[in-house]
Amino acid sequence: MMHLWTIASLTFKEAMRRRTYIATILVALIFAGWAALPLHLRSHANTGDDPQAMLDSVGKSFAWMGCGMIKFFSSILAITLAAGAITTEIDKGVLSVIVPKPMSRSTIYMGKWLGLMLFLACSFAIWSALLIFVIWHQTGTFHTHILTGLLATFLFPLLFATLTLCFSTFATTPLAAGLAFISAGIALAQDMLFFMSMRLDSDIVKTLSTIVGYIVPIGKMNHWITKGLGDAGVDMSAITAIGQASLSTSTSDLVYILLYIAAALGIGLFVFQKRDL
Amino acid sequence: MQQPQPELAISTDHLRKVYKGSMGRQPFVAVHDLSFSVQKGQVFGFLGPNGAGKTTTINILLGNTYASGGTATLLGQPIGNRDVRAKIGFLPEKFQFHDFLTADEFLDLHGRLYGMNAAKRRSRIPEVLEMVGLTARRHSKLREFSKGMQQRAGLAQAILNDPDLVILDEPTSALDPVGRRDVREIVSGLKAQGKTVLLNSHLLSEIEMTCDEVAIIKAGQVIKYGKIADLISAPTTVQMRILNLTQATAQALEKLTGQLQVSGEWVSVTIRNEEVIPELVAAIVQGQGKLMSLVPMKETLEDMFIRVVEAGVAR
Repeated sequence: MMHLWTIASLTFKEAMRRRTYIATILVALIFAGWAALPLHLRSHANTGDDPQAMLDSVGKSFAWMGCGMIKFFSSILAITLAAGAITTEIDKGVLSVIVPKPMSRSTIYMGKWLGLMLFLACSFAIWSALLIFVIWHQTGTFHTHILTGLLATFLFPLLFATLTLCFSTFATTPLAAGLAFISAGIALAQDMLFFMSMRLDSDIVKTLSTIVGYIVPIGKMNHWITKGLGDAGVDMSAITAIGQASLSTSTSDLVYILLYIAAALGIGLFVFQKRDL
Repeated sequence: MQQPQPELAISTDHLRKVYKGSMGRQPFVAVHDLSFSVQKGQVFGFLGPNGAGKTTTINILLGNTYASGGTATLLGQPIGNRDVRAKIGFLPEKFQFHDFLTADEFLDLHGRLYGMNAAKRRSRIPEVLEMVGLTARRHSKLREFSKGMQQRAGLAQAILNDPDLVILDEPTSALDPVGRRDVREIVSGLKAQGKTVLLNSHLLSEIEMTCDEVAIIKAGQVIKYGKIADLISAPTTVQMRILNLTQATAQALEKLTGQLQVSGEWVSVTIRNEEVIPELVAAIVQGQGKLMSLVPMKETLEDMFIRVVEAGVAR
């Protein structure tokens, strides 16, 4: 275990050295900016609606937008950090003095993964805390569902860090990052294809949407964010019947997401153990 | 399958490494049927021209690269054995460390990776820093170090765990003459403690000064292997300046050596071994000659290396 934590803390320090914490701070500043917006005053002034209902609506919007922002920035951060985690260290020759030490390659790989997750979790925790503060500050409410929504949002950095680290075992840094973005691009088509299949009443397009959802389960993860947030957030896609249908999810989807992440971790481990440095 | 031999620090048996060709390229054989062994307690020189397969071999021994064929053992155990790895120190040729760490932090990190406990690390780190001359810079970040100082830090890392086997791949490539002398002293110290050192260096004068045995490899094969004194077996030339050299003395010298060249006061003879030198001196004195100087001209390791590598002589 000492080896695992040593590699994890080294990876964490490496992330700090690369000053990725600046990205964390910059995103945090956006949330801080939200907190400073005088939104509740405007809602009083502009409409004759129930102010509390207005504030509730604003809170839900903040929750949904906030989760979206955290999802986006944590994914970018995960890809940035993980893309060079293995290949760059091999190219530099850093790993050639680490691998001969009395530990397995899987310990090194898992240590790197753990270090990345620790850094991402710290950034995620800061942003999440700020989002909750913003909603409370602006609306005076706190929905416990936001916590489950945020928990589901963490699937994004978890998946992208794991997937990109896996790519990093065989691809150069730009290629590993590129593959991760391509994966995200493919996955984004899932809901669009589902929407089209409903409009066009096309089983082929619907099947294609399902397949895309299995290749990279980002759509399933998005649906779990919506489900997790529940009445604490408002997913604009759900305002139509088709949109609502496209957002359906189940526990088996969550199991699939977790198995997918575990498989990416396993493949990365396997490749790293087999490759030459 | 090679049987483990406990008396050997390193043993390779028909080791082979082929890099698969990709995108239409031909496969590249980096190591081709490499067999050699290093006794425990030896300082062993691992020599060869660029691209001979030395670093690939070292990487195979350390588990950084996987062999395509053959077997190898370290300290009597198959490569990859975790207990054995704890007894090995390694300084790579292409060294780049986590330069955001201070020398102290860097060694503490590697101490942890060696599995050393906190007390052991606390006592050992100042020792090795002293050995490599970095005590005064222990709190400086590695990125503030010169290349030579980084190599010293790397060397400190390689001996941190008090290893039984130290593998040094070009350990003096970035060092000045003082640094090179320090490395020689460290290697000598390790030998005195009964440690085994595998030294890969292009500085053959250093190899000659520090190593007991050498292996010269070319195109992934051992082409010369043995004790340095045995390998440098070419006839030794002795150059002398003799005054009053008579015909009788010249004949006596020729009789002792079989080959004599005279150019004024300068006489050059080829001898088979150094035992003849006192007899040469005696013959000159007996013939009333005045011996002003005598310089035995031995083949150096570098001479032998160039001769062997250019000829590609099989052992």
